[in-house]
Amino acid sequence: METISTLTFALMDAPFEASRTTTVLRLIDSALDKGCNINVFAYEGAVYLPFALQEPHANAVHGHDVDEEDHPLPREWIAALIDKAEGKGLTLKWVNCGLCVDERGAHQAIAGVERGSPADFWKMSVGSNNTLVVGTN
Amino acid sequence: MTPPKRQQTEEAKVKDYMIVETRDMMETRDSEWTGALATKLNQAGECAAIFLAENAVLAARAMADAPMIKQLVEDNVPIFADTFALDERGIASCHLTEGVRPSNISRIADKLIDGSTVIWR
Repeated sequence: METISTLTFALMDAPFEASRTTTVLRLIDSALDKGCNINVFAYEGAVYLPFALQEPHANAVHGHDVDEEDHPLPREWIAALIDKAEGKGLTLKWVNCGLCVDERGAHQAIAGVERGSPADFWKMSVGSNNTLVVGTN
Repeated sequence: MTPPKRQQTEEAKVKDYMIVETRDMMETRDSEWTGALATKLNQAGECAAIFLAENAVLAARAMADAPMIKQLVEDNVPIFADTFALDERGIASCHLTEGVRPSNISRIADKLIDGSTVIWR
Protein backbone atom coordinates (compact mmCIF):
# COMPACT_ATOMS: atom_id res chain seq x y z
CA MET A 1 0.00 0.00 0.00
CA GLU A 2 1.37 3.37 -1.02
CA THR A 3 2.19 5.73 1.84
CA ILE A 4 0.51 9.12 1.72
CA SER A 5 2.93 11.98 2.22
CA THR A 6 2.06 14.89 4.46
CA LEU A 7 3.56 18.27 3.71
CA THR A 8 3.51 21.32 5.96
CA PHE A 9 3.71 24.89 4.74
CA ALA A 10 4.22 28.08 6.74
CA LEU A 11 2.98 31.26 5.08
CA MET A 12 3.47 34.84 6.20
CA ASP A 13 2.33 37.13 3.40
CA ALA A 14 -0.91 39.06 3.60
CA PRO A 15 -3.32 38.69 0.67
CA PHE A 16 -3.32 41.00 -2.36
CA GLU A 17 0.31 42.01 -1.82
CA ALA A 18 2.70 39.39 -3.14
CA SER A 19 2.85 36.82 -5.91
CA ARG A 20 4.04 34.32 -3.33
CA THR A 21 0.44 33.71 -2.25
CA THR A 22 -0.53 32.55 -5.72
CA THR A 23 2.66 30.57 -6.21
CA VAL A 24 2.37 28.70 -2.92
CA LEU A 25 -1.31 27.93 -3.41
CA ARG A 26 -0.41 26.56 -6.87
CA LEU A 27 2.22 24.41 -5.20
CA ILE A 28 -0.30 23.13 -2.65
CA ASP A 29 -2.71 22.37 -5.49
CA SER A 30 0.01 20.36 -7.21
CA ALA A 31 0.80 18.46 -4.00
CA LEU A 32 -2.89 17.56 -3.66
CA ASP A 33 -2.81 16.24 -7.21
CA LYS A 34 0.06 14.01 -6.11
CA GLY A 35 -2.01 12.65 -3.23
CA CYS A 36 -0.47 14.54 -0.30
CA ASN A 37 -2.14 15.59 2.90
CA ILE A 38 -1.44 19.25 3.56
CA ASN A 39 -0.93 21.34 6.67
CA VAL A 40 -0.76 25.11 6.47
CA PHE A 41 0.29 27.38 9.30
CA ALA A 42 -0.64 30.97 8.51
CA TYR A 43 1.43 33.48 10.43
CA GLU A 44 1.34 37.27 10.62
CA GLY A 45 -0.49 38.82 7.64
CA ALA A 46 -1.23 35.42 6.12
CA VAL A 47 -4.08 34.98 8.62
CA TYR A 48 -6.04 37.29 6.33
CA LEU A 49 -5.74 34.85 3.42
CA PRO A 50 -8.87 32.90 4.48
CA PHE A 51 -10.66 36.00 5.85
CA ALA A 52 -14.35 35.39 5.19
CA LEU A 53 -15.28 39.03 4.51
CA GLN A 54 -13.11 39.48 1.42
CA GLU A 55 -15.34 40.88 -1.32
CA PRO A 56 -14.85 41.17 -5.08
CA HIS A 57 -15.13 44.61 -6.62
CA ALA A 58 -15.84 46.26 -9.93
CA ASN A 59 -13.02 47.94 -11.85
CA ALA A 60 -13.84 51.24 -13.51
CA VAL A 61 -10.44 51.36 -15.24
CA HIS A 62 -11.23 48.07 -16.95
CA GLY A 63 -14.82 49.16 -17.56
CA HIS A 64 -15.98 46.04 -15.75
CA ASP A 65 -18.78 45.58 -13.28
CA VAL A 66 -18.23 43.25 -10.35
CA ASP A 67 -19.22 40.13 -12.30
CA GLU A 68 -17.17 41.01 -15.38
CA GLU A 69 -14.12 41.83 -13.29
CA ASP A 70 -14.35 38.47 -11.48
CA HIS A 71 -11.80 39.67 -8.96
CA PRO A 72 -9.88 36.73 -7.49
CA LEU A 73 -10.19 36.20 -3.76
CA PRO A 74 -7.72 34.13 -1.74
CA ARG A 75 -10.51 32.89 0.55
CA GLU A 76 -12.16 31.28 -2.49
CA TRP A 77 -8.89 29.67 -3.61
CA ILE A 78 -8.35 28.25 -0.12
CA ALA A 79 -11.95 26.99 0.09
CA ALA A 80 -11.46 25.33 -3.30
CA LEU A 81 -8.27 23.63 -2.11
CA ILE A 82 -10.01 22.38 1.05
CA ASP A 83 -12.85 21.03 -1.11
CA LYS A 84 -10.36 19.44 -3.50
CA ALA A 85 -8.60 17.69 -0.63
CA GLU A 86 -11.88 16.37 0.72
CA GLY A 87 -12.90 15.18 -2.73
CA LYS A 88 -9.70 13.17 -2.96
CA GLY A 89 -10.05 11.72 0.52
CA LEU A 90 -7.14 13.84 1.71
CA THR A 91 -6.91 16.50 4.40
CA LEU A 92 -5.97 20.13 4.16
CA LYS A 93 -5.57 21.44 7.68
CA TRP A 94 -5.31 25.23 7.82
CA VAL A 95 -4.27 26.77 11.15
CA ASN A 96 -4.24 30.52 11.67
CA CYS A 97 -1.87 31.89 14.32
CA GLY A 98 -4.21 33.02 17.10
CA LEU A 99 -2.14 35.96 18.28
CA CYS A 100 -1.84 37.20 14.70
CA VAL A 101 -5.60 36.90 14.30
CA ASP A 102 -6.23 38.87 17.50
CA GLU A 103 -3.79 41.61 16.52
CA ARG A 104 -5.53 42.07 13.21
CA GLY A 105 -9.12 41.37 14.19
CA ALA A 106 -9.15 38.65 11.55
CA HIS A 107 -11.48 36.35 13.46
CA GLN A 108 -13.98 35.75 10.67
CA ALA A 109 -12.38 32.98 8.66
CA ILE A 110 -13.95 30.60 6.17
CA ALA A 111 -15.13 27.17 7.27
CA GLY A 112 -12.36 24.70 7.97
CA VAL A 113 -9.85 27.21 9.32
CA GLU A 114 -8.60 26.49 12.84
CA ARG A 115 -6.96 28.68 15.44
CA GLY A 116 -3.60 27.68 16.83
CA SER A 117 -0.13 28.79 17.83
CA PRO A 118 3.44 28.35 16.60
CA ALA A 119 3.50 25.22 18.75
CA ASP A 120 0.96 23.73 16.34
CA PHE A 121 3.30 24.52 13.47
CA TRP A 122 6.04 22.61 15.26
CA LYS A 123 3.72 19.64 15.82
CA MET A 124 2.54 19.67 12.21
CA SER A 125 6.13 19.84 11.00
CA VAL A 126 7.27 16.94 13.18
CA GLY A 127 4.36 14.87 11.90
CA SER A 128 5.08 15.65 8.25
CA ASN A 129 7.38 14.20 5.63
CA ASN A 130 8.63 17.67 4.78
CA THR A 131 8.11 21.33 5.63
CA LEU A 132 8.46 24.46 3.56
CA VAL A 133 8.65 27.90 5.15
CA VAL A 134 7.72 30.74 2.82
CA GLY A 135 8.76 33.92 4.56
CA THR A 136 8.21 37.49 3.54
CA ASN A 137 11.04 39.11 1.61
CA MET B 1 14.72 21.63 22.25
CA THR B 2 16.09 18.41 20.78
CA PRO B 3 14.16 17.31 17.67
CA PRO B 4 12.64 13.84 17.73
CA LYS B 5 15.00 11.08 16.68
CA ARG B 6 12.95 10.28 13.56
CA GLN B 7 13.43 13.82 12.27
CA GLN B 8 17.15 13.78 12.96
CA THR B 9 17.49 10.56 10.97
CA GLU B 10 15.59 11.98 8.01
CA GLU B 11 17.65 15.16 8.02
CA ALA B 12 20.84 13.15 8.02
CA LYS B 13 19.79 11.54 4.73
CA VAL B 14 18.93 14.80 2.96
CA LYS B 15 21.40 15.50 0.18
CA ASP B 16 19.15 17.15 -2.37
CA TYR B 17 18.36 20.83 -2.31
CA MET B 18 15.92 22.87 -4.32
CA ILE B 19 16.32 26.61 -3.97
CA VAL B 20 13.29 28.53 -5.15
CA GLU B 21 14.24 32.05 -6.20
CA THR B 22 11.29 34.37 -6.75
CA ARG B 23 12.93 37.79 -6.98
CA ASP B 24 14.07 39.76 -9.98
CA MET B 25 17.86 39.54 -9.96
CA MET B 26 18.12 43.01 -11.46
CA GLU B 27 16.41 44.44 -8.39
CA THR B 28 17.68 42.20 -5.64
CA ARG B 29 21.43 41.86 -5.27
CA ASP B 30 20.83 39.38 -2.49
CA SER B 31 19.70 36.87 -5.12
CA GLU B 32 23.40 36.33 -5.85
CA TRP B 33 23.43 34.40 -2.59
CA THR B 34 21.07 31.89 -4.21
CA GLY B 35 23.55 31.14 -6.95
CA ALA B 36 26.49 31.06 -4.55
CA LEU B 37 24.69 28.63 -2.24
CA ALA B 38 23.78 26.25 -5.07
CA THR B 39 27.31 26.32 -6.46
CA LYS B 40 28.93 25.73 -3.08
CA LEU B 41 26.55 22.89 -2.24
CA ASN B 42 27.33 21.15 -5.51
CA GLN B 43 31.06 21.70 -5.01
CA ALA B 44 30.66 20.09 -1.58
CA GLY B 45 29.19 16.97 -3.16
CA GLU B 46 25.54 17.76 -2.51
CA CYS B 47 22.93 18.04 -5.26
CA ALA B 48 21.43 21.52 -5.51
CA ALA B 49 19.13 22.90 -8.17
CA ILE B 50 17.48 26.29 -8.62
CA PHE B 51 13.85 26.84 -9.51
CA LEU B 52 13.10 30.31 -10.83
CA ALA B 53 9.57 31.55 -10.16
CA GLU B 54 7.71 34.85 -10.37
CA ASN B 55 9.98 37.75 -11.42
CA ALA B 56 13.11 35.63 -11.09
CA VAL B 57 12.37 34.16 -14.52
CA LEU B 58 13.17 37.54 -16.10
CA ALA B 59 16.88 36.83 -15.64
CA ALA B 60 16.51 33.54 -17.49
CA ARG B 61 15.95 35.27 -20.84
CA ALA B 62 18.85 34.73 -23.19
CA MET B 63 19.01 38.47 -23.86
CA ALA B 64 19.06 39.41 -20.17
CA ASP B 65 22.27 40.79 -18.71
CA ALA B 66 22.39 38.09 -16.04
CA PRO B 67 25.91 36.70 -15.77
CA MET B 68 25.00 34.69 -12.68
CA ILE B 69 22.57 32.51 -14.64
CA LYS B 70 25.11 31.87 -17.36
CA GLN B 71 27.77 31.06 -14.76
CA LEU B 72 25.43 28.62 -13.00
CA VAL B 73 24.77 26.87 -16.30
CA GLU B 74 28.52 26.65 -16.89
CA ASP B 75 28.90 25.22 -13.39
CA ASN B 76 26.29 22.56 -14.24
CA VAL B 77 23.81 23.76 -11.63
CA PRO B 78 20.38 22.60 -12.82
CA ILE B 79 18.11 25.62 -13.38
CA PHE B 80 14.39 25.41 -13.96
CA ALA B 81 11.98 28.22 -14.85
CA ASP B 82 8.32 28.11 -13.84
CA THR B 83 6.23 27.83 -17.02
CA PHE B 84 3.37 29.73 -15.35
CA ALA B 85 5.67 32.67 -14.59
CA LEU B 86 7.13 32.52 -18.10
CA ASP B 87 3.67 32.60 -19.67
CA GLU B 88 2.56 35.50 -17.44
CA ARG B 89 5.55 37.53 -18.60
CA GLY B 90 5.36 36.60 -22.25
CA ILE B 91 8.65 34.73 -22.26
CA ALA B 92 8.74 31.88 -24.75
CA SER B 93 10.77 28.80 -23.88
CA CYS B 94 12.86 29.31 -27.01
CA HIS B 95 14.02 32.66 -25.62
CA LEU B 96 15.52 31.19 -22.45
CA THR B 97 19.23 31.07 -21.78
CA GLU B 98 20.59 27.78 -23.05
CA GLY B 99 20.63 25.34 -20.17
CA VAL B 100 17.60 26.79 -18.37
CA ARG B 101 14.73 24.33 -18.55
CA PRO B 102 11.04 25.27 -18.39
CA SER B 103 9.27 23.33 -15.67
CA ASN B 104 5.93 22.96 -13.97
CA ILE B 105 5.68 23.87 -10.30
CA SER B 106 4.99 20.20 -9.62
CA ARG B 107 8.76 19.75 -9.68
CA ILE B 108 8.89 21.51 -6.30
CA ALA B 109 6.11 19.27 -4.97
CA ASP B 110 8.10 16.23 -6.10
CA LYS B 111 11.15 17.51 -4.25
CA LEU B 112 9.16 18.03 -1.07
CA ILE B 113 7.67 14.56 -1.34
CA ASP B 114 11.04 12.89 -1.84
CA GLY B 115 12.41 14.59 1.26
CA SER B 116 14.66 17.16 -0.37
CA THR B 117 15.36 20.40 1.40
CA VAL B 118 13.46 23.18 -0.31
CA ILE B 119 14.52 26.75 0.43
CA TRP B 120 12.26 29.64 -0.55
CA ARG B 121 13.82 32.97 -1.40
